[in-house]
Amino acid sequence: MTISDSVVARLTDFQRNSVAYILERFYGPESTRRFLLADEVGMGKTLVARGVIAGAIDKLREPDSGVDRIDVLYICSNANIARQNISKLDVLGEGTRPMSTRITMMAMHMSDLNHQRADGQTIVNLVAFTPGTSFQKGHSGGRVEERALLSHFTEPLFRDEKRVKALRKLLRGGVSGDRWKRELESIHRRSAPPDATIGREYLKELRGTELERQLRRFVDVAVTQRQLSAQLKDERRPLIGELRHVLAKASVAALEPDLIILDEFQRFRHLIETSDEGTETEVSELARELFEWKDARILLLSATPYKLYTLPEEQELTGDDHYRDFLSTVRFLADTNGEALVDDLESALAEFRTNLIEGSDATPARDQAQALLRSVMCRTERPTLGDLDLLNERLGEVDAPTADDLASFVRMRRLAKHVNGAISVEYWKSAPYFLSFMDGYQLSRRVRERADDPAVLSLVTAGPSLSASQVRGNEPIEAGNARLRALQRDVIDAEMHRLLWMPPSMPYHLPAGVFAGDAAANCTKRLIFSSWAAAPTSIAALLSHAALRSLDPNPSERSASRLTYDADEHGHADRMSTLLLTVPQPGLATVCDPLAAARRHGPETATLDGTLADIRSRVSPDIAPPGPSSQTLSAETWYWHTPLTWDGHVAVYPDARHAIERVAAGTRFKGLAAHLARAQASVAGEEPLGDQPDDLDRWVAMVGLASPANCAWRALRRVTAQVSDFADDTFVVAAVMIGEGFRTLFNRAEVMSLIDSQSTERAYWRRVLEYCAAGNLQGVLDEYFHHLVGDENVTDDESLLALAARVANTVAFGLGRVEAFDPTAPETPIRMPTRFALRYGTARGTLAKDDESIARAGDVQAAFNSPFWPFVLASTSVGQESVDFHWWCHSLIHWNQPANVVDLEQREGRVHRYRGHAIRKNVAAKHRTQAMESSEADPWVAAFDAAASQRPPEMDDLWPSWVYPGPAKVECWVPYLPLSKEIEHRKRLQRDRALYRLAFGQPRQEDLLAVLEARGADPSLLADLRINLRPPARSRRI
Amino acid sequence: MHAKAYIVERDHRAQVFIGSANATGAAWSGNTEFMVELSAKRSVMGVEAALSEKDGGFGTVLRRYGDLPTDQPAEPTLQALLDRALVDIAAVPLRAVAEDRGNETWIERVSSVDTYPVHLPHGASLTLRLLTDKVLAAVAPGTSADAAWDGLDAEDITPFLVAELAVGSTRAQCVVMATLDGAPDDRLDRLIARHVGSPDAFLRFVLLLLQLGSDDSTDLSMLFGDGAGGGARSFLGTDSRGLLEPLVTALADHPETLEEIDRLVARLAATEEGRARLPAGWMDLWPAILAARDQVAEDLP
Repeated sequence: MTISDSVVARLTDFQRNSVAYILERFYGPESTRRFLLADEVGMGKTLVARGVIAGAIDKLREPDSGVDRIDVLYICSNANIARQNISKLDVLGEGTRPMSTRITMMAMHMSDLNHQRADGQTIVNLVAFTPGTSFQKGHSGGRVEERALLSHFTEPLFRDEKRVKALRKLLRGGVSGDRWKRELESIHRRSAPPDATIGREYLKELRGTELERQLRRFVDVAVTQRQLSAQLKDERRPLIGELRHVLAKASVAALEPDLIILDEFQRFRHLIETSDEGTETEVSELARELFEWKDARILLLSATPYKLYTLPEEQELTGDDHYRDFLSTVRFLADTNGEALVDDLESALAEFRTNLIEGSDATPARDQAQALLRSVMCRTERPTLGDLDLLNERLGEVDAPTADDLASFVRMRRLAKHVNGAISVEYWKSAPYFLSFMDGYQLSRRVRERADDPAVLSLVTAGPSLSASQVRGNEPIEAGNARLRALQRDVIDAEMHRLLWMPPSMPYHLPAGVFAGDAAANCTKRLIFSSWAAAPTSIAALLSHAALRSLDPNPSERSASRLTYDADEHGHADRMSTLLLTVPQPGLATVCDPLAAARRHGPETATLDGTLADIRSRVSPDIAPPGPSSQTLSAETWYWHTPLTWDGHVAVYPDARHAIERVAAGTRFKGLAAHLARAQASVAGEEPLGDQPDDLDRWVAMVGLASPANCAWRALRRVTAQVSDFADDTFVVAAVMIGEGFRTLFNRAEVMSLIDSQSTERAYWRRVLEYCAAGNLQGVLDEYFHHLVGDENVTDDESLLALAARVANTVAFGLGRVEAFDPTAPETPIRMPTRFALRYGTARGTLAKDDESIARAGDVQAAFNSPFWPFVLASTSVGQESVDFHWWCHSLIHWNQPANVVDLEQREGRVHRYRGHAIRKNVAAKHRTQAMESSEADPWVAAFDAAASQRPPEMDDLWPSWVYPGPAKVECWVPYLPLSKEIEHRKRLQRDRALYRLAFGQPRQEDLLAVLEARGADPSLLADLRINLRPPARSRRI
Repeated sequence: MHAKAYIVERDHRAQVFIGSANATGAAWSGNTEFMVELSAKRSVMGVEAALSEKDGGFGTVLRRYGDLPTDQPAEPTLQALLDRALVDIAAVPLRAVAEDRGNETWIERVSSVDTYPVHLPHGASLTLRLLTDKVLAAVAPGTSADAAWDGLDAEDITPFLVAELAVGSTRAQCVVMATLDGAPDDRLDRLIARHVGSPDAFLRFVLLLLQLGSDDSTDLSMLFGDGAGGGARSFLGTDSRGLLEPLVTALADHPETLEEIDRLVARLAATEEGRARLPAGWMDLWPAILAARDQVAEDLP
């Protein structure tokens, strides 16, 4: 078996097609040396590259290849992406050569490359570059270690000591004398000296050039000067730059790359630009050293090598010229054949355009353009939502703005005029309470600067803003904005906030309580995109407030946490029922598994009562008969005693303490030890018991069925069923951690109010269990963990516990808070908790760069990608690209519509992804029966297997994980104000969506679309004329 | 190209559009037309400046009726004779007086201050009619005009009359403007309400009012065309047709513009037929806008 056989075996069909096609283009007849793989984001470009590397190694190891050392270069400017990808590309599993940021430093690494293989096979080196500046030589003096290396290689040019010193003075740059000395010495101290071949090549390149003469002149003058004169100092930098350039050339020559993978190619666009006179920039010349090396094949990876569609105003604004970019990309790819190919392509595309406009047959021109392009590139796109009937667009006119809304705009406009600031109607349409959320806007600064001006003050007080007491007291806050009002109705009036988690897509029994009913069963999270930074902030703050207020209208009556480990004044543990929720009882959990109950029940979904009755009947026989009891003792003891002693062993309790304290991040619970000790004593039979209550079996069954710790324990077991490297205790500890997260959740004031609003008759812990059962907590956790484990590498105890810790944090998520400006107290912002709805990114609508904010953005994303709160996430365009939000969300709200249809599809791409919420709902709707009939531990594995087995013949393996039609669709809502211009804009976006792919590679794209529209062309007929760059299926094997 | 010029004045600014477009719906909504837009101070390019005799204004080439040079060809055609005679007829000043007859009907009486010329081309008959009515009134040469049109709607009352001189099927026509007295004060409002015949026309008209009252440039397609701006974009810069945005801007910046709109709305809202011409959602929005206007008016010292 060749290397590529084993690598390719793990790819999907379409990835295999790409690999085979690229190899054919590289090594087959009429081959090309450069090829662009432009698959859409998330289609596995790195995996295809891996397949290509494997194929290339097989090819180059053939006896007649003439290659005695295979060097594969991987170049990626983003060190994070590089680190993530490089291990995937290491097909031989032998590790990679040191990552170097600069090609000039190659001489320090050559010794690592030239090693022999024990099996006599041709050596393979995988070298990674993460260039920041290595391709942008410019006139930078480079780093000190580069200059030291230059000095080392250049010194042989000069015979006398004085001149060598002068050369070192030249290369010292801005560093201190000591530092420079250390750097020079360190070269000689290295175990492997710099590669002599590169040194010789460097001198060979340098000798006899103008550069050498320039260098010698410099040194001749420099020896006469104690300190370098100002003139020499000016000459220094360009001279060093030139020398680095020569060294870079020599390094490339020594490297002899065979295959170069250039990742995130769009970041290197400047490498392929050539100037008008046909002369290359220094930068592209250097790149060419690398790109034109003898037999090197270059594979470029990029989802967006050029913009697919640009509007005229964008072009004016950014100066981007997609058409020029497109042609220069093709010219670069076609290399020596570039001009000819571009000429042919331009005429084919022009012909295509003419055909489209005239309505004549465009197929021949299309085919020709397609064939020309496919010779240098291929692209696999996900089918678009519209084509698959997976999209449900809802054009939602919201109620007209109220008089107060309108008056607030007038007042803000007056204020803005007074302080020479600006506020636009578009802003007002998007966000309420400007004064409160104006952070980051220019007007904000101006208002603050003039806060003492009485006129400003009176204008400020006239304008609506939030008050601290309103927020603190959970008082009603008017939405203040027509869109927000509509969103509140959509979400809060629909009582979504009464659900603490999304109902599972595959419930094991019918949902009950607040989870009952179609509205709850069909609900999904909402992802909102706005163009205004203030919108996400105000949405998060006001929607969260509305949810909080609805759940807990009287925060003054707030009760203390109820699920505690508090001991009484004698140090006696008297909150034992808390342990029922936070500590799993594996034996009981196994008996009470609701999935097993559902599988016993058959194809119809049972009711909760039915499931409970079934489980109760299995628990009852095993409940220990009451021993001697004392009428003076409480019967309550039985409720916790029976579950906690079910498994009859004591080992779990010491572990539980560490687990709880790990999740609680440093908090020490005073009474926890006493509780665990009492539980242990209870196991040992030391707990005095009262009369056994009649309904004991019911509550034991309930604990087994619905306690968060038991649900977590079962879920963890299921999704890791195929990995055996876990200690049993690890599951218990992990489940305790997650149970602890739920304890925090159910101790929140608003959650207690929520549970109380159902009933206050029974003890709180019982009502919590009832809520968990009603909401199918088991089903939710099974579904959630199925994707978590698919997403992350859970292979051992440590990674399992890390996963549990993250889940616990997510369940207890309490990070959110936004700050609102209070004009009456400018120094003290109003802190508004945000939990139900969150903002993605910073208050300024950007992604912060500091570690803490990055971590927070990650937490926010993880929380939104969990079934728990937040249910609503609002973002500016920062959340629009390369972030996943699809796990529990298939509803998109275009608070503001994007200008460009490409951005529109980008947004949809956030929620239309691998096994997203809509896909899972559809798979569950169709294959629940198979999942229940299967004996597979994880029912989702069974459901997706069943869905895959029914793949229609015309579908590839995007089915079922990407594409699975059914009742659930990606919902898009444009909440527009009556009579506003959104309506016209939306029409244009819809036209563009239908037609823009036809304008691929065309100049003046929008004009073409307008003409097609005016001609009344049928979009569905035209869609067949799109240029399709998918590689042909199953190319000839090499 | 048979060029046209349009001058739009607003405050102290004026825009001039010169080019091929006629003042027709087709020109401003569907046709391909070529126009140049100039923009300057009203004193430089406004109507008055354009018609003045200073700085190359059109005043230097304009002549009053009657002052025309009499370089008659030897053998003028009948049409030329009628055209020339019509110049003298148009120069006769007219007076119109409207009177309320009750029951929403009106009478308009038109008389000429002077007598009409005695000599008309041979066999020619002279008639007058209201621009808004088809009924003709004959005027004998050498007499004063004295005619009345009864049973008119208020919207039909007009200062404009059509004078026609005809010999058989050869005819010459012109519109003359009378002084008009006695017309109802809301005649123009009524007239506008009548012309705003559909929700779309309403939208266009309100947009035009808002543009005239705002600091943005005016899109003439709002006046003449269907307002859809032709292809992707009208060259006059209207990207998309939101009404809400200019309304809210006017509420803040030029609330006086709202008065004019309100008169139209009130008139249309008064009848079932009129309400049908208001766009959907309008009556949800408009009262809120008026209420907001009143609310913020109280803020002012």
